[in-house]
Amino acid sequence: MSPYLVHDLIWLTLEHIQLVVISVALACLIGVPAGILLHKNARVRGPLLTFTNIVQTIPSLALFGFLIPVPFIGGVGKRTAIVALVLYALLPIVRNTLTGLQSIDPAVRESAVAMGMTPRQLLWMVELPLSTRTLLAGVRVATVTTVGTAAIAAAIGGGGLGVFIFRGMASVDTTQLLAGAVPAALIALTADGGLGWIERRLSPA
Amino acid sequence: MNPVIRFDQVSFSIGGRAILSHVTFDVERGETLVLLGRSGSGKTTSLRLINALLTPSGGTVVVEGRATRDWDLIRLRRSIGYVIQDIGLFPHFTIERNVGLVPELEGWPVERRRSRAEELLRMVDLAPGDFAPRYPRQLSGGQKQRVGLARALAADPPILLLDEPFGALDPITRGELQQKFLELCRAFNKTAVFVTHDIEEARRIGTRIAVFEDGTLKHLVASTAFDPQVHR
Repeated sequence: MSPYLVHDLIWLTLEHIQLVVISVALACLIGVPAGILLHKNARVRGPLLTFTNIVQTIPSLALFGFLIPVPFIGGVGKRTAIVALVLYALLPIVRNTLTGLQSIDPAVRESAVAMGMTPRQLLWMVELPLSTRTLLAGVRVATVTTVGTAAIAAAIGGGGLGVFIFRGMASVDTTQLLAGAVPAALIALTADGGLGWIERRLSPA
Repeated sequence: MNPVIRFDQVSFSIGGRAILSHVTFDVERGETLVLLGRSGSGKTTSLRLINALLTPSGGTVVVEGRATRDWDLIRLRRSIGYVIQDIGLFPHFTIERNVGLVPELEGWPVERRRSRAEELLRMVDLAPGDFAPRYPRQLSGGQKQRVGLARALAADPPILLLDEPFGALDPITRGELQQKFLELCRAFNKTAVFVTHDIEEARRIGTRIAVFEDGTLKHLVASTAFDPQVHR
């Protein structure tokens, strides 16, 4: 392996991880409160879930393309890539937050309210702890798919391991293709394993 | 003496369907009023109107001299113990924390909470050393409901509301818990409203029995005078 390839490999892997971490973190910051909101407010539930579902059906390459001409969030580069990745990561996080909250035993919620918990206490002491496991499962799915989708970010100048993959495809160079694909797979497996471990550690039962 | 709880022409309807219509009764201090009736007769609805889980569509529910709509709901609920058939223990809290929850919400210091939880567990015949650190899933149905009862008593509320609390238990455990409940109510002079569909339980537990049918109060009699042939 040439020293250039090794240098690129390290750099692009770190860049890839950076894309994933930032995107999933932002998706959590938006997705978890959105899930809570949907749980409290049945009227916005349908429209918002439909929106996240529709986003999910857009092919990722197309979504990256759509975003390029959009002012502020669009253009070519990392920012656009992150916006797209956040949109993809939202669905599993929103949906699992909602599912987690909805699957709480109604008797537990009724008791909590009847014992005089304020809505805030109900959320922090009961609802969120009891939906942690489902919520984290959503974050896990979001992370793993983001690792994959982030490879396409290279198409709009987002960087990451996709650079290798596109380069390898263009020049029919298997070494470059593998230099992109193998580390991406390893990142996905590590993230899956790590988040799975946290999920099991945190779950009450 | 003023009644602890007063229903004054209370109605409740949801989606245009009347669940409860013009119900009036009082609950005196220290008594256990049993609400007896079939499913859908309005007894659970009545109970849930007392701790304002529901708001009356008409009329007034008065608790300790004040209409529920004028109460600070959090204060009202923390002064009322609530026990339901499905128990609703918090699965992620230990038994000790479950029992000490209202004291925790009320900001009691940790030590006081702990000793209170131990005292209550002993009251319901569960050895604190054994049970306090456990989680609800490690308990049998009867043990869970003992914890449910202890939890309801934690902050020493003057009023207890119970919704078929022993309905899901086997007859022997049910008998034991009925006995325990009677002892505790007498010992601490609690005012209780107890929902059941079991006539024997109603007679055993109640000071008076209120018979509900189709959302109306049909009879209200002393449990000693209750005759299922007449009052049905």
